[in-house]
Amino acid sequence: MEKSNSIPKRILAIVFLMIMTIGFIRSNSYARIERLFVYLGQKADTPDAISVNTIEGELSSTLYKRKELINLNGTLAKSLSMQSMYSNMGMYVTDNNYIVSAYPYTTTDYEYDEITSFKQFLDENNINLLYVNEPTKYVDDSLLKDEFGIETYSNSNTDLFMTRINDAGINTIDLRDNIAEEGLNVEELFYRTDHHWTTEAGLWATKIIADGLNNYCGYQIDTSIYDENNYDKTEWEKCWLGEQGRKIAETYVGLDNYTELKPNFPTSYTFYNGDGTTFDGTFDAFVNESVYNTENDVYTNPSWHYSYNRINCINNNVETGKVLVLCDSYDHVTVPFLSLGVREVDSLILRNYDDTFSLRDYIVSRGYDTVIIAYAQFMIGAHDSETNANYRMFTFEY
Amino acid sequence: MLSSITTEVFKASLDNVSTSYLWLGSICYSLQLYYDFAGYSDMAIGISEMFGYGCIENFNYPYMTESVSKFWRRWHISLSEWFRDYIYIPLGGSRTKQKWRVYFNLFVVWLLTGIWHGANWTFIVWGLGYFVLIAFERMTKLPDRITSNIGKLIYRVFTLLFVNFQWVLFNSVDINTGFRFIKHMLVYQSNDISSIRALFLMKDYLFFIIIAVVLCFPIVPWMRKKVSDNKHKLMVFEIVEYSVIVVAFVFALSFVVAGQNNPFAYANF
Repeated sequence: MEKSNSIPKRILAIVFLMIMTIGFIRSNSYARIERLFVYLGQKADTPDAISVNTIEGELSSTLYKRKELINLNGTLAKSLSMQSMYSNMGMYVTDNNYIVSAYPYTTTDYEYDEITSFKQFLDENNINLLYVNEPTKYVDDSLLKDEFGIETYSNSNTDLFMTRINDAGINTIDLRDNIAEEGLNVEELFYRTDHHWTTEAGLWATKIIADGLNNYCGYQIDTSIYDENNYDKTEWEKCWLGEQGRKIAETYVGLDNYTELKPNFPTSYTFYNGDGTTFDGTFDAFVNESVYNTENDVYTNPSWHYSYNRINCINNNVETGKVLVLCDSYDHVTVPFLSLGVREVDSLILRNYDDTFSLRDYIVSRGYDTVIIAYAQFMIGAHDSETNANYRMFTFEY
Repeated sequence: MLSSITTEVFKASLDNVSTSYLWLGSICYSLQLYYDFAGYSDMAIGISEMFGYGCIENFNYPYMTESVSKFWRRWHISLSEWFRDYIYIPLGGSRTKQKWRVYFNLFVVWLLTGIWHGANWTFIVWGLGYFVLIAFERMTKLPDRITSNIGKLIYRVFTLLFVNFQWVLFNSVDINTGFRFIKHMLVYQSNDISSIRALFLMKDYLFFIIIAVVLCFPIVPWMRKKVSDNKHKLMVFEIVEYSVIVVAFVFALSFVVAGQNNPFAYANF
């Protein structure tokens, strides 16, 4: 080894060391040193072993100027018009800065077996079943093929599943059909930067679900209560960043708009807390408006989609109906609206429960007359991978 | 960045991909491995230089090589020199009386080089592949026998193609997959969606692919040499060069934070 005499190199080295030192201190990286020692001293083949990726992930999540760096990355991707730079996280960006994902093929066998068995159980207990298919951000799988050369099976899996359960005598609503019939643009029903649909789309879907309750389950809901003119609308423009957008960058996809909808007619509810206690209130209790803070950092602010809460409730202005909605996060905006036309609406997200919870006992003990399963269509096939967060969504056997 | 392409291509089912898709993936892997490994080597060299000590380069523009034999004088130089000094020369090197012995020595070196990379048939076949290519050059005295510039250029292109095929074997999960990958690169295979994907990836990553290809050539040393006679110009050049390095560092950091980085591809070796 020989000594290097390049002065510019030495200056660069000093500047680099200064940047690293400041970054190290401001990122609280000294707190990670202990983790590094654990990593170096551990047995690598144990289940609890820390990986380099874990340490790297922890470090990057607390890195000084993290938000600015994410935005810098997004600026680069945007300036180079890169649409699949974030494909390693399963996201592709269309020309309209609309984020979409691909889904693998599934046989639908697991879902079919589970739902037909569940239908039999409900029939034996004289409980109605209605299955609602909620679309993903595209209703034609060829979108990803044509734009990105990516194969996706989201809609073909759903077509197969819906055909099979229709043939099995299950009442269904496929909201993709309503989109086609009404000539809607699916991209207008969803946030560009989030996988959820908008509040307005939720209200639109609720009216169709209520109509389904009337047609298939003997309800007599006045569906005109779901007309938009019965709601006060508060709109924000470019105010929040969805879950997908946070992984990409604000500078790439830009911020999303948001609309809050609240009924402009009187409402009266009894709400159930998680501990079984109750409180009285109006529709306003469903909506946590503190989320709507445009001053907050868009990367750390809670998702505006979740400002609507699913709360088990009794609508004191309606006389009949007791519905359990087995749902996903899409239904944070449909369950509150649905409750406007039904006496009692409860909801469950099955991925939050394990085998110790008996869904069937829960249904019988609570005396529901109808069970609605309302799932985003990417739940179909989620059981194919044990690591999928939605692995249990179609497990109705317990 | 290029690892996004290589990861995708090398994971794909070989029955459902187009030839163009495989070529794109293999070329990107050749570039990725070079920048990945050379980058880590430069980090080690840089840290050493921060303490005032210089180290020898581990890479010397390997894809500029004239032949397969010379490729290994430019690629992973520390490993090549170690095998030369501790295996090849102690075995007698090329100064043996029997001609076959030289080839035997080469065979041992390349077999061990393959095994050094991992106890997997892909690495052994990969190492022996280099033995065959280097032995071929030694026997035929190529490319030294080629006198025309066009001939030398064609030989360089063939060299890079062989190196590229070797990297395909190197990165394949097993030897059968590696050979099938190469077969589909050479025997045209059509697949509509895969062809669209290849074109899309080319368009999407064009900037990075161009940068990667251009920087395989010694552009920066050439520019430095051009201005080295003039102190003022050299100073400006160095300021620009180091500014680009700092900006590139910040952008690299942004890729880590945005979850776009990939683990060191050569980490297991």
